[in-house]
Amino acid sequence: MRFRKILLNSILILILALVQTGFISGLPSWFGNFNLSLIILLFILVMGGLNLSLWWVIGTGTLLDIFSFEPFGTHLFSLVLTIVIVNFLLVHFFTNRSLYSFLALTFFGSLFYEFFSNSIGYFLSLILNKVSFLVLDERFWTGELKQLILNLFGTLILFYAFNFLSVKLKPVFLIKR
Amino acid sequence: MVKLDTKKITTFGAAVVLLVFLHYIGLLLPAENLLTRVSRPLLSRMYSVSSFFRKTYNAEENQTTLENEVKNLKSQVNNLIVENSNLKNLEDENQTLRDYLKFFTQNKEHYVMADIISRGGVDSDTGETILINKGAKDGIDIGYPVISGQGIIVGKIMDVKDSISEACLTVNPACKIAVTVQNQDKTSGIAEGDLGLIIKMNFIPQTKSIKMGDIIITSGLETDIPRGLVIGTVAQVNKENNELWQDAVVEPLVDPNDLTIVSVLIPN
Repeated sequence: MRFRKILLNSILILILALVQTGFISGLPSWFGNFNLSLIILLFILVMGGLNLSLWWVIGTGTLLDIFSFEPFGTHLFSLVLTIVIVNFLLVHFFTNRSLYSFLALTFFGSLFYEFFSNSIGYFLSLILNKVSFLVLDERFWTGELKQLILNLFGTLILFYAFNFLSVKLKPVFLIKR
Repeated sequence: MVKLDTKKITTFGAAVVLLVFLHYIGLLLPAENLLTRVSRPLLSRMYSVSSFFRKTYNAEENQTTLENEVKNLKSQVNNLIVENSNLKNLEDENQTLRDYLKFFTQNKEHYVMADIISRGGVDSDTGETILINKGAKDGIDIGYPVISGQGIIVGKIMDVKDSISEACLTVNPACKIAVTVQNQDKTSGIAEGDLGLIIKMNFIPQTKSIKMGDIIITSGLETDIPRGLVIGTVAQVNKENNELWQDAVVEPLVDPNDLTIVSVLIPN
């Protein structure tokens, strides 16, 4: 039973990494900026707990590092640090499972992930003497903003999809009893 | 209520550090190569599907400008037909002269065809790099030119793994290629990407004359990139009298968004 659970999770992690690398990167215009892997990991953190999410982070981060040419460890470290920080926010600030909490966690998660992945990638490139494409110009910031908006939109869709299928989530507005 | 578990986080952190360490000492390499090889066909398929959506989306967006572009292209085609005819005559003459002087003809270059399996990275907002499903095992190395179906250079290999490679497109600022203008002066310069949309040819001496429509080709000064690969045409010339150099904006002949299959030139 436990083996089946591990196998199922491994397959889902592989599918997520393949979809992010192969499918989403080829989408037109804005949509190629969508960070589906981060959104899914944040959902798993909230719904499945820290333990499960960290296993997913290790699997997803490793695969993303294998499929990319950024210094190995960029995605792994960035995802781990992001999940740890988002977990802290979840425990201390956004303790319910409302839409606002999800959106707030996605907002901060996206910001932290982008910060970590760009900085870690840049510094690892310096250490390993590789080419880094980090240029903090207008296009960079526009790209980051697009990704943030897409991630929030993706969270919105996923939240309602989960809400439709599961009773674990709270409605949009918190009801005072 | 979810509790913060420092011990758990430290354990996972240590596992991550160990994974990265194992990668850099090469222990994970066989597993990584196997995973990449197994995933390549799936990545190709997924990229093809999303390319279909991308092309459909771009086609819808560009519909309003297509009519004007068709008119311009028809006129260009007519001019090219004439030019092609003249070039064919020159080619025949060249061959005859070579036969007379018993020159050895240059070896044909070898090509490796590859599917594009991804663009940019997870956090890339530019898509100015592509990942292809061929790597070191197929004879690819850093610096090799990447060309489209019509033989137009679209990029350069910048990193190679066993079964996959990363190439920067010509519109990428990090992609610098030694080029020549196909004019009487045979002006040389460096072409590099700008804004992810166009190519800029820099370091053109002020004394050289270049004009809109001139064809830009590779100069052959780079070891692994042969002479004569077309990059694009001059769309704009920026010439300031008080500057040491002039520069030209080059419009690439191939839209990177349309690429799904490319070839990598393997030098002899």
